[in-house]
Amino acid sequence: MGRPQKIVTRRRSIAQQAALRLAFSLGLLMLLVGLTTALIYRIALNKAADERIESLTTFLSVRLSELERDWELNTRDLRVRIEHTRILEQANNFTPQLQAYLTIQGGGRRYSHLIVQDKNRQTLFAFGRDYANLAKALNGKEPGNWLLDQASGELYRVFTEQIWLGDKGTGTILALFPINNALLFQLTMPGVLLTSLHHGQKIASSEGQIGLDMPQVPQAAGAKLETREIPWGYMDNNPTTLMAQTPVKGLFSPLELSLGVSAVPLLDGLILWFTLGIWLMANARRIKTLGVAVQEFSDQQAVTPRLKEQIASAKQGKQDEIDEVASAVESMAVSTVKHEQEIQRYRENLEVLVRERTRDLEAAQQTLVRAERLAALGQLTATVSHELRNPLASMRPSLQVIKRKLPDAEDKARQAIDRIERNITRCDQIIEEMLDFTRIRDLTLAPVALDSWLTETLADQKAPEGIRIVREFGLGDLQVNLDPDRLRRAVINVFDNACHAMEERRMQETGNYQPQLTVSTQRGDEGRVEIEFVDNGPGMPEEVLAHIFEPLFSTKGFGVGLGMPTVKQIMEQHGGGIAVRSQTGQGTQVILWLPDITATPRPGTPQEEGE
Amino acid sequence: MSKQFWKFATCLILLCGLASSLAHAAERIVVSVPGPRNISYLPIDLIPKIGADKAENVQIQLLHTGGGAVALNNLMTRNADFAVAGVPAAMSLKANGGEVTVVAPVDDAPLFVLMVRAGLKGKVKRIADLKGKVIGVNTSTKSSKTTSQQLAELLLKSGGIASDEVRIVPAGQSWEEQSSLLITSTADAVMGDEPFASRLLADGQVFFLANLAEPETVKGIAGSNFLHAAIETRNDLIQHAPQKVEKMVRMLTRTLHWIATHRPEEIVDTLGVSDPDERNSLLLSLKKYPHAFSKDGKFSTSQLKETDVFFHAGNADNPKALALRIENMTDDRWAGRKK
Repeated sequence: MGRPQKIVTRRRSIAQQAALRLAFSLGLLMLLVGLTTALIYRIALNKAADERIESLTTFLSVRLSELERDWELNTRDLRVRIEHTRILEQANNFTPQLQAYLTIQGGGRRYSHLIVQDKNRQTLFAFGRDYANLAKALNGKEPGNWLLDQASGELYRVFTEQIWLGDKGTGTILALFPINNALLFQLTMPGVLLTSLHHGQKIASSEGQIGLDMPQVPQAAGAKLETREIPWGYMDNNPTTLMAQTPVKGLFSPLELSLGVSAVPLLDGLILWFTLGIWLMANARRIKTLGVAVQEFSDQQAVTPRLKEQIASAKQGKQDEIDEVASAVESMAVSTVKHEQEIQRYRENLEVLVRERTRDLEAAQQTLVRAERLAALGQLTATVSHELRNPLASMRPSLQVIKRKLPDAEDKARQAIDRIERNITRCDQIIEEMLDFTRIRDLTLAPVALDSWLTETLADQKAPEGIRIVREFGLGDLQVNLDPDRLRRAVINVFDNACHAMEERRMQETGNYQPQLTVSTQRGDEGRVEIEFVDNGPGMPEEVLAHIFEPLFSTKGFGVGLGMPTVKQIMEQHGGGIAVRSQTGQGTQVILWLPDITATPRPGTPQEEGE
Repeated sequence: MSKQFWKFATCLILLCGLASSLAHAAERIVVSVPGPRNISYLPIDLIPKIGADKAENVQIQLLHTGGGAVALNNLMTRNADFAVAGVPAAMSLKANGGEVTVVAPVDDAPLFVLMVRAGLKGKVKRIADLKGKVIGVNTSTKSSKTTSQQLAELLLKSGGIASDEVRIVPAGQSWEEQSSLLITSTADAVMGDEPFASRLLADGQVFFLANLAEPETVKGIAGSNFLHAAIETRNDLIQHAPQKVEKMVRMLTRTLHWIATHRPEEIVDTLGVSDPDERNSLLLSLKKYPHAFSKDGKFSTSQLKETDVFFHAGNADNPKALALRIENMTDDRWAGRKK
C-alpha cells in the first residue's frame, strides 16, 4: 500500500477555521443587531418625538387660545372695574387715584402696562415700568394686536377696550401683556424649548436669555430636533408665532444605550456560542482527532492503540455523520491491514511458488540439457557401438585363431593374447553399459518378493576376497512391483561401486582394515521400500558427491562414468529414487527406494519415450 | 498667484472677520431690579450710565419691578439672568424651594422708612397706633416675602400689633407707586424706600414713624444691620454661564468703586434725573446715607450673620426658614469675602 504524498501547504485546522468563521459571524451578528437596534431605537425615538411634538403643538395651540381668551377677559374685567370706581370721570387729577388703584393690585396683575387714551388716541394715563416709550408709540394711532418696544426688544400683546371717561366721552383702555421669557417659561414643559418669534425675530425664550443666545438647541450628536411653529392667536397675517422645539431626547444615556444595544447581540452571541459554537468546536475537534487518527494510520500502517483511542475520541459515543466516518475509517484501517496481510501472504507464497517454479524450471532445464547430452550420447553410443562392435566381433574370432595357431606360444605372447581378449571383453562391457544407459526401455513390472529376489541377485555377485557382505533383510514376503532385470542392474552397479571403493581403501590402508558391506531392506517413510547399502570404504568428498549422478563422471581409473546415472535412471523409472550420503574416511550409504507397493511406476520420461 | 493662495487668503480674511465679530458681540445680560432710582438699588441703575457694562462688553438690560420678590420671580421665570433684591427676600424664596444663590452684595446698610400720611399726624404717634390701619409694603409674591414686609412685620410686632390687625397692601418700589398710595389715602402708612420717603417728607405728605437708619428704631429689631440689596442668580446660570456672573460682579464692583469715588451731585447727574424734586430728594438721600452702598462689593461675614438673625426673627413661625443659613446660598468666589 503506497503512502499518500504529503503536500506542504500552510495548515489551518478546521477548528481554527470554525472558530474564525464563528467569531466573524458573531461579530457581524453583533454589528448588525447593534446597528439594527440602534436604528430601530432612533426611529422609535423620532416617531415618539413626532407624536410628542404633534401633541405638544395641539396642547400649545389650545393653551395659547386659553391665554388669549384669559387676557381678553382680563382686559374687559379691568375696564369694568375701573369704570366702576368712576376714577376716570374725575376730570382733574385722576392719575394718583388710578395709580394707587393699580398699585395695590401688586404682582397679581397679568398685564404689565395699562394705557388710557382719549377718543383722539392721546394718552391720558400710563401705568407700568418704563411706559414712556410705549405710550409714545401708541399715541394717535390705531392700536394693533402687537406692540414691539424697539428700545427694550419687548413684545406685547395688546388688548383694547372702550372705556367711559365721563365728560371726555368714550376713550380706550389698552392692556399690554408681555410676551416674555417668564410667560414662555410658565407655558413650557420639561424638554421643550419655546421661543416666541415676531416677524421671524426671536423675542423671548422659555430658557431665558441663555435660550435667546443659543444659536440652536443643544442636542445629542445625530439626534433629531423636532420643531413646530404655532400661530399666536387666530388673527390674519399674524406676525407672531410660538416655536416649540424638542430634541429627540434619548431614553437612555450613551452608556446605557451602548450596554443595551450591545447586550442583545452579546446575549445572542452567547446563545449562539453555547448552542452552536461549542457544538461546532467540539465537532471540529472530533474531525481534527479523526484527521490525527488517519495520520496515525498513514504513519503506522497498523491499527495501533493510539489509532483506536483517536477513533473512539472522534466518535464520542455519538451517532452522527462523524461517527459514521470514524467507523468507516476504523473499518478501512482494519480492512486495509487485513488486505495488506493477505497481500503479504500472497507475496510470500508467490515467492515460494516462484522459487519452486524456478527450481522446476532449472530442473527441467537440467533435465533438458541432460536429455540433450544423453541424446547426443545415445546417438554417439549407437554409432560408436556399431562401429566398435563389428571390429571387436571380428577381433575375437581372430584372436581364437591366433590362440589355436599358437598353442605353445611363449608366456609373454600368451599373456598379451589374454590381455587382448580381456580388453575386448572390457570394451564390450563398456559398450553394453553405454547402450544400457542410453537405450532406455519400458519397464516390465511384475510383483516380486524383494528380499528373496535380492538374496538371489547378491548370491550371483562375486565380491572381492576379504570383503564381508552382511545381509539384513526386513521385508519378509513383501511383494513389490518392479522390473527385475532393470533393478538388478541398479543393485549390481551399487554393489560393484561399494566393493571397488572398499578395495581401493584396503589397497591404500596398511592397518587392520576389515571391509564390510551391509545390505538391508526396510520400510521407509510414506510406505517406501528401501534397499540400503552401507560400506566402510573411503567415502566421498562433497564436491565428488555433487557430481556422482552426472553421466561420464568417474573417479575410477576405469569405466565410463555411467554406473550411478544408470542407477538413478532405473530408480526414477520405477517412481522411486536414490539417496547417497557419504563421509570421507567413514564410508558411504546408498539407499535405493521404491514407492509404496501399490504405486504404479512411471512409464518413462518424454526423452526416454523418445528414445 | 495660484488659485489656492487666493482661496487660502479669502478663508483667512473670513475667519478673521468672524473672529472679530464674535469678539465684539456684546453679551446680553438682563437684570431685574426694583425701581427705578430706588436708593437701595441705585448702583444697578448706574451700571449702564457709567458704561460699566460696555467695559465688560456686555449689553445690560434692566427690568424694573415693584419689589425684590417680583424681581426674584423674574429671575426664576427666566425673564432675567440676575435679580437684585433684599437678601431676606431671596432667603424667603430659597426657603420656599427657589434655587437662588447670592453672588454679590450691593448695599452696606438697609434703608427703610415707615412713613405715615400727613393726615394721620397726631393720631399716629407710635407703631401701636397703626392698629387697624392700611399699611403699604413692597410687593410680595406667593413664593417670596419681600424684605420690607418682613421688616414691617417685625416693626409692627415690636409695637405689639399682630399681622392680622393691619391690612397689608402692595406699595411698589417706585415713586409713583409709593406716593400715589399715600397721596390718595389708599394706604395710611408705607414701608417706603429712599429717596421717595425723603421726597414725600419734603412735600409734607408724610411723617416718619420709624427709620432703620436711626438707632432708636433699630433698637427693637433683631439683626437690623442685615444685608439688604444683593445680586442673586439661578444655580443653572452659574453652572452654564459662569462668565455672566463674573462679568455681572465685575460691573457691580466697578460701579461701587465709581460711587465711592464720586460726589452725590456727580452720581445724580450721571443718572440723568431731570425732575428737580426727584433730583433734590435723591441728592439729599445720598448725602444723608453716605454708607448706603458697599465700598468694595465684598461679602461681610458679620453682616451675613446679622442677615440670618433678621431673617429668622421675621420668620420665626416657618421651620424651613429657621433651618436656612445665608452661607448655604452664598457664592463668594467672584465677589470675595471680608470679616
